[in-house]
Amino acid sequence: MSSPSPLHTQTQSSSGSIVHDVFHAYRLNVPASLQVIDAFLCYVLATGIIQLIYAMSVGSFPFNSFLAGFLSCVGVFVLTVSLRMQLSERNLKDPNNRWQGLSKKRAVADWLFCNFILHMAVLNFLG
Amino acid sequence: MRLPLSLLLVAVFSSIIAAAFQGQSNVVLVVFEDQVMLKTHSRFVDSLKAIGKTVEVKQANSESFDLRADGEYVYDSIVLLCPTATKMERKLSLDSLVRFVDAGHNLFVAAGHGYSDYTSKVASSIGVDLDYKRNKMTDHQQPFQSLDDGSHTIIRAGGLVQSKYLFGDENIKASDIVFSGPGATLFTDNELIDKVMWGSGSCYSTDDSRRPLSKIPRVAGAASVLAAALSTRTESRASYFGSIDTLSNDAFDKAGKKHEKALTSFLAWTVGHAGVLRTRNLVHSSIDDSGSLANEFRVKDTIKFSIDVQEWDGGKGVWSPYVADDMQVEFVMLDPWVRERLHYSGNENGTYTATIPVPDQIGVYKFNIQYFRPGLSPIVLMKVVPVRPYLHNEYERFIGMASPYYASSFSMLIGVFLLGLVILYGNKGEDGEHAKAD
Amino acid sequence: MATDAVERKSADQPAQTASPSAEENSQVLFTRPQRELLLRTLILGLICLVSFSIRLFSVLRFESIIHEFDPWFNFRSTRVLVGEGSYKFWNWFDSRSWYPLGRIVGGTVYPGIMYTAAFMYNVLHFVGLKVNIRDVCVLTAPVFSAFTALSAYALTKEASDDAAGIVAAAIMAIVPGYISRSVAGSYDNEGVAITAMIFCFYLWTKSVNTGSLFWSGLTTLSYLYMVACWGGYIFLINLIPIYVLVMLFSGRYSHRLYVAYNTFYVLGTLLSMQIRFVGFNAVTTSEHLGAFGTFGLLNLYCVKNWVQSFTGPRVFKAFVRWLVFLAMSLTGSIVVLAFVTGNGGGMTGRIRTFLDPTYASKHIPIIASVSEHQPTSWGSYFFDLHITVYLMPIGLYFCFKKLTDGNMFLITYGTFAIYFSGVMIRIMLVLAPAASMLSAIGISETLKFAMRSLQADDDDEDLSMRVANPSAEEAKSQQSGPVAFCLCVGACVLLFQYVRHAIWATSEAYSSPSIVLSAKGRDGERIFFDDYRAGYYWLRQNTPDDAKIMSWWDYGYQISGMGNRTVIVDNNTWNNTHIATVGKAMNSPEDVSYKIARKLDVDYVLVVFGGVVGYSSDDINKFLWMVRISASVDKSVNEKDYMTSYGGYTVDDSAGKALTNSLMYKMCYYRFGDMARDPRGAFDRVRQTVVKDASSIKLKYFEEAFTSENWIVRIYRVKKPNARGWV
Repeated sequence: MSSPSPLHTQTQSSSGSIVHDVFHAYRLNVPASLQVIDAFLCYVLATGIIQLIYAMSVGSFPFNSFLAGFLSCVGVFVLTVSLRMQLSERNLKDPNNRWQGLSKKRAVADWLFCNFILHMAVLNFLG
Repeated sequence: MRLPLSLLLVAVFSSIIAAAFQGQSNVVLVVFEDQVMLKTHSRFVDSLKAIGKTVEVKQANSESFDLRADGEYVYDSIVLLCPTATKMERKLSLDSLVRFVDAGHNLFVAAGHGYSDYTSKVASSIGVDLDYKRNKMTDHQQPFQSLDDGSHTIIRAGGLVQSKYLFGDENIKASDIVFSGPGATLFTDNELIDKVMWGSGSCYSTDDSRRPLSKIPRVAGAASVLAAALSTRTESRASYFGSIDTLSNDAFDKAGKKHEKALTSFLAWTVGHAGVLRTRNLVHSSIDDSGSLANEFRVKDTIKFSIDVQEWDGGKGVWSPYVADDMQVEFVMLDPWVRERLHYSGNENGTYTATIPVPDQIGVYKFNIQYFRPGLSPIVLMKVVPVRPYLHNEYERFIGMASPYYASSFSMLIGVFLLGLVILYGNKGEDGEHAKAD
Repeated sequence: MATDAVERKSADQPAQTASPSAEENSQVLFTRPQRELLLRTLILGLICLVSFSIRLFSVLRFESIIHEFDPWFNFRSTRVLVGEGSYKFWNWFDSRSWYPLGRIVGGTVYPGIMYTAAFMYNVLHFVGLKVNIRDVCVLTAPVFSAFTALSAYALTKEASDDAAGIVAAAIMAIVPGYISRSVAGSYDNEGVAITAMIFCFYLWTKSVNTGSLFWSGLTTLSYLYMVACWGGYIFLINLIPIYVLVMLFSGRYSHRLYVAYNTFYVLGTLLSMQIRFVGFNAVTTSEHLGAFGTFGLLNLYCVKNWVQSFTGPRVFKAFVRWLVFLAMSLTGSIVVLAFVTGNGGGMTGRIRTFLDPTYASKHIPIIASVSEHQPTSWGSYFFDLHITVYLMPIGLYFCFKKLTDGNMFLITYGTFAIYFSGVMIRIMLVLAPAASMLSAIGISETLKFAMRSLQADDDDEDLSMRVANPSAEEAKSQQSGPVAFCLCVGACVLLFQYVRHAIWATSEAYSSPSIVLSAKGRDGERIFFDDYRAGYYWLRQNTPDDAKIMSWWDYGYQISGMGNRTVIVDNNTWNNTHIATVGKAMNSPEDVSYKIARKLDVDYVLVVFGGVVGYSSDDINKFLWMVRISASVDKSVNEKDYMTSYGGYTVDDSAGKALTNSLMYKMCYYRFGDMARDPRGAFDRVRQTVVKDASSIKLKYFEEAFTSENWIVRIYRVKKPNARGWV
């Protein structure tokens, strides 16, 4: 288990400060390579939410296109989170995960394989 | 010497050929009861000659009635003016008569007081149920004065179908027509027979008109049928008229021109001189070029439907276009989904067209034309045609409203590709450095 | 294959076998692992052969013919697919069934089995073997049963170990519950779908065990195949989330589970929507809601863990409170929105029956009337599963004893399969693999214990073992030698009996094509009744091409497939009103039926009557279902009118008035009194009574067109009015 992060002295429990606290802890503890992936994840999340808002406001008329677009965001998000798990050092060491022999190249190759399936399905479903 | 011989041969051949072409459609067999009727009912029969038919007259006691020669029917129509003749069954059996009618040929049967079983069977075969043979239709309020002998059994008709095809004149009044004979009703389980002339509200059927009624008459009032007509599914006509006595020359003189005109027109109608329609060239095709075959349509298609309707012009002897504005075509699947009026296009074939929008429901539809007008041949047409849904590539290719989704999907694709590159080949220098545990 | 290094579960065996065999290398031809591999391959090959052969009874006894009802539709569709290509099949609009409504086959069928058979057909033709499509279709199910056995081996190997896997494959190959739906000739969805399901389960277990995205991707591909094959994919898409929840609540969460489930859910849902029949159901109906809920829950749990990993405990507590609040408000608002906008998709009737078994009989008689949807009786459990019925709890015990992720899956699968198999007899098919695998684990563990005890007496190789183990256990194992011997012999006897039973059950109960009936004559020889085919071929050869045939929906697919004529209703039963109309035509007096027949443009009516030969699945026995189904749409039909005054259903003198007036009764018993086969006169062998007034039945609007040799199929022509308007 990692060493606990430095505690912060602010004791307010308002939601704004919680977010700030979390974000600060994040900045300190997460390595840069994973932060890149996290940035991409935020982008994917944002795209998904924009589509959802668009569909709810304008109507989800080509429902298959909406689902294709939205699920492509969700799918990429989920797959990238899985990749991130497989790349993070702490997880690789955890015996419960059985990822001892998992090399970075292998992880990325699996991730690309699943993305291939995902995007083939999305393109077919897009209409 | 050779020239006259060859001319003779040509004449013989051409007459044979002419006979072959003509023989089918112009010979009417009229069966009288006896020699007397030949004279008394001559004008009725002569009206046939006036419309161009060849009339062959036989009597009920003739030896044989060969309807066929060389496997073909010799006659085009049969007019039975022999209601009381017995022994007809052996010569012109009901079975052969029925087959004659079913084969597409016309029949006119007249009944009278004291009709024979044969006549009642012939009438039954076309759906007319005759009243007792001893009965006569009686009307104490509207008897025909000039012919009446006090028994009030010569009556005026109470109502008839107003049709210029049936009775020659649209404005003819029922009371112009004189009737004397048994009444009749129609069998209810026959869907094609229809009454064309019926009694007035005050007439009833009885065997002795001078005595008051002891029970409710079987046939009375407007429910009594004086004349009936059936248009068969094989485009022939079978008619019934219950009063042979008023078809005589004498009755024509006394009853007036209108009576004569009405009844002779009825006879002419029966033998196919008036009101005969035929349809040709049913064509249905798709207006939008959706690439579908003409006998399979797609939902939301538009069908161009056309049909030629022609009417036989007895006077000129040709088929001329039938002009009317009340024909419609239905597009039916269990229930009619579309009804469109058929518009006459104006050409000499009598082409009617309609534009039918295919509904948004798949299924097996049929074009349905059912056109029944009094005096005209019924037009009953059904053509089955399937309607299929959209093929998978018949939808709109790119929908504008979906552009955010298109954009996001492709951006995901590109993003994934880029991320992969970044992860594998980015930060090459920092690969060995394992940062603080996450 | 670094990710394949799964540790072996057998605790006492040394993990590496390489060292002893190095010494043997110089002496023997094959090393120990090589021998094991050879043995394993041979055994599995034999198992495949057995599973294929046992299903061939009907082909050898009768002929290569498609059985039952539904397979005929699949066969016809496959012919279209092979003959006209994939685009035509995908877009196929069938205007010759459900006249006049038509049926979009492309969008209302699970195309997996057709594509599978077409693929095999094309491969064989490509190689040069010009096989008939019918033979390919007939033998599809036996071929896939071999694959099922192999998948069962793989799944059990993932969950337990190699030895249990082999036993599972052996038991799975011949378990009668699965054979019933996969004999040669039973060209139905389940034959292929069970293979797909077990294979998908294997890949799922593998991906949970390894946490590799690659295996998860393969799982979703096999899930796509499963969705393409059978509507029973609902079981799969609900079982896997339940398993995830079980793992979560039993504290066995790991990142492997997260990777496996998330990939499976998102990609699987997207892929399942590619099948037209499923379409948007995957995101709108209640049946898929469980998977979605689990997806959300798993993600929230993971977020909580992740945040916990880099924040302090105090901050984290506050975060958790905030997160829970967010989660509950989101869920609540989604649920409210769904129900307010009416999008809370209802469940189909069939699925509701699973949760409340009495639902169908109360509300939807057509579901209740299907013979496969009847509740399972105790006898059928033993008949279909034999020894696995009581070996299954043993397997469960051993699974619980050494819980692993894979074991947990088998436990979950087995438990839910047991529950659902009690609702419908058809689901026995889903229980059979679970029973086989769990009982295989039971047998394997028991035998392992026994063999270990037996081996402990006399092996030098076990020197290392003796060194490793304390002597107390060695003494115990020496004492239990005779017990172990009895266990081994007992297990062998059990398995022999199982094999005998399986062969007997297959031969007697599950190998009848049901389109050709057979009975044993007085001198023991088999008599065949080929009436069905005679009737359908009569239709094919003696009626116009566009003739429309009205019959009860059971025979629709067969008439379409063999008679090649347009039918009014068929086994797809998608339109209850249309079926109710046909039912009304069958149970009404003649003039009402005639009107309905004219409205539907019917030319011929076909009924099945078994009273002459004693064939009990005939239309008179199904008649009450026709009444019930038409009563569910038309309130004027009253079932009591068709029964006797005391509530029974007979055709003798006390028969209900409405029954004797109905068209079905008249068509079945028309001229029955003239049959002189029985001295008692018009004696109906199925109902075992003399029929009331059989000789005086007259038909006005229908005339008899064809009656087969044993009176099983009777076809009547609908009289159309003649030229002069008379009927």
